[in-house]
Amino acid sequence: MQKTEGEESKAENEEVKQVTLMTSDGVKMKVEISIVYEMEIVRSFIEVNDADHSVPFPLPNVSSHTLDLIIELVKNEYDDEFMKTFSHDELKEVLVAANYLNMKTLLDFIATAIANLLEKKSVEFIRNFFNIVNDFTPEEEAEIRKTNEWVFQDLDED
Amino acid sequence: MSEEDRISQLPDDILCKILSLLTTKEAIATSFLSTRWKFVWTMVPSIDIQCTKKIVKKQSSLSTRWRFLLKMVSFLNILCSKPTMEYHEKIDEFLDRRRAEKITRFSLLCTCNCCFVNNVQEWVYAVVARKVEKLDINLRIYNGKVLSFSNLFTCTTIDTLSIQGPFDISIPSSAHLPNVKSITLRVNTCLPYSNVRTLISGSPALEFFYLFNMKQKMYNYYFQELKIVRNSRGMRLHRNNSMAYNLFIHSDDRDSDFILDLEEINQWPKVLDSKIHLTIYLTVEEESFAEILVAIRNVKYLSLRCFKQDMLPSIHVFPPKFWNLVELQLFIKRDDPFSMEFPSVCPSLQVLEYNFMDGYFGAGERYRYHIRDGVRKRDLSIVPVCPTISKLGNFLNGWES
Repeated sequence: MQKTEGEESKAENEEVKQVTLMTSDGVKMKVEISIVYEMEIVRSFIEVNDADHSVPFPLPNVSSHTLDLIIELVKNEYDDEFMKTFSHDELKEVLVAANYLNMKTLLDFIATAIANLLEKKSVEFIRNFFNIVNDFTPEEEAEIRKTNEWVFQDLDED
Repeated sequence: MSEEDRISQLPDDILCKILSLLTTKEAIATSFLSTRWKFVWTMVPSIDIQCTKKIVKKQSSLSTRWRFLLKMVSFLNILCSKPTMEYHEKIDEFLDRRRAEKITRFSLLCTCNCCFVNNVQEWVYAVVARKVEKLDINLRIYNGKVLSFSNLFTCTTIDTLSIQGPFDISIPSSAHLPNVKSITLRVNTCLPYSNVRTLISGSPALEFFYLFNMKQKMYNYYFQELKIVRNSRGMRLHRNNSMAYNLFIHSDDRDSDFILDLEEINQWPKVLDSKIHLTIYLTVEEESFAEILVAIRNVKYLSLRCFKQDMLPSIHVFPPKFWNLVELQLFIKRDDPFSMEFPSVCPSLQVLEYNFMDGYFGAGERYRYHIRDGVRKRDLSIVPVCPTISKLGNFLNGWES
């Protein structure tokens, strides 16, 4: 579907409209406007400024690698199989970027993927997965453990 | 790559979104991660309680024989992990720890017998009182009691209701669910149609209704299935009665009121401007077949599939007058007397189509006639082969989105 629409407009306008984005590692990437429109943060800027698309839009929180992954995901209409090839780090990066770019569909999609990964996992696993530092004092930890003892049954050790 | 903890810097609603996709138990477990996460779970708008047994963690170390035994034991509910409910003696106390304003979804899945016997009604009461929007109760095993939910059937916030499990359920006559769009009931009792009618007429926004009841008598199972889909294109109703007959009614009028008359089969004549697909199976009784034909005798369009002759050639019903019938499609055996009798009781008939089923699922010859002033003219534009038909039909396909 998307492809044919793209081709049609290509035939009409000679070229697909593109917006240049500048990633955190200084790479300038030309991205089709249909994909850019899913990024609320860029979209609202373009719409307000009726912009000169040749000036790169800076994305200081998104690396070129992550942006590549996001573009592929959107192009593949959020293909599960494609996403399964992501490493844990890539998943997390995409989640953070999706939040920053304010991409609603991508956020839902990636949140589901991460939730599936965390299902039935121990607190230690999740800490490692997200690189979360345990900042509880031993007393605090003991207290929470006391109130919520039951939730630890059935969770995997690893 | 990311040594730094960027996840914890995400706003609450993103973290809540992830947690809302986990069970409530798993969500609460995240309160241990760090101080940032201590209260995130309390803002998750949904509640998801799953009480499933996990028999032995490292099953791989057991022999096949032991694994089989454990399966059997768990089937008999001897083993059960300490249930969630046992811990929370006071449901309100637990719910009051939450900070989320509403409960977007409450789902309760229990595969063990011991967990919710005394608490499920209490849970439902508490979440309905807190304005639940989606309610999904699925109890696999329950020891044969009647579940009654005192405030559920007058809940004004609920939009999706699903109750499934082998138990009885009582529906009060005061049922009124002004915002409910979808109701699924898969229960063990044979609900009286007066209850079904109360429920449907008390749910003006209803778009999807599914009812399945099953009852066991000796070694036989009897079931009734009723499915109603209402949307801007109209209304479709599917009624399946223990495989004796399968009835699809399609009406362009989404508010068509005949669904309210299902209780009395002889009140169906209101089914008028509808299209009907009726499949009769070999298990149908002569009497109920005759009743159905009387009930639908005012329709304009009828497609009838008869599987009945395969077994009991003695069953023969002479059809009543179908005064309004304009189009008739028959799927029958070539020697079925219906092929002659049925058109003769339809004085307004304009289109008649025969599909002779040589095999069990069709695939014979197909004839279509246009009738004007009593003269039949064969339509040669159609494919002269009876389409292969499935016993259950796919009549509702594409309608439920």
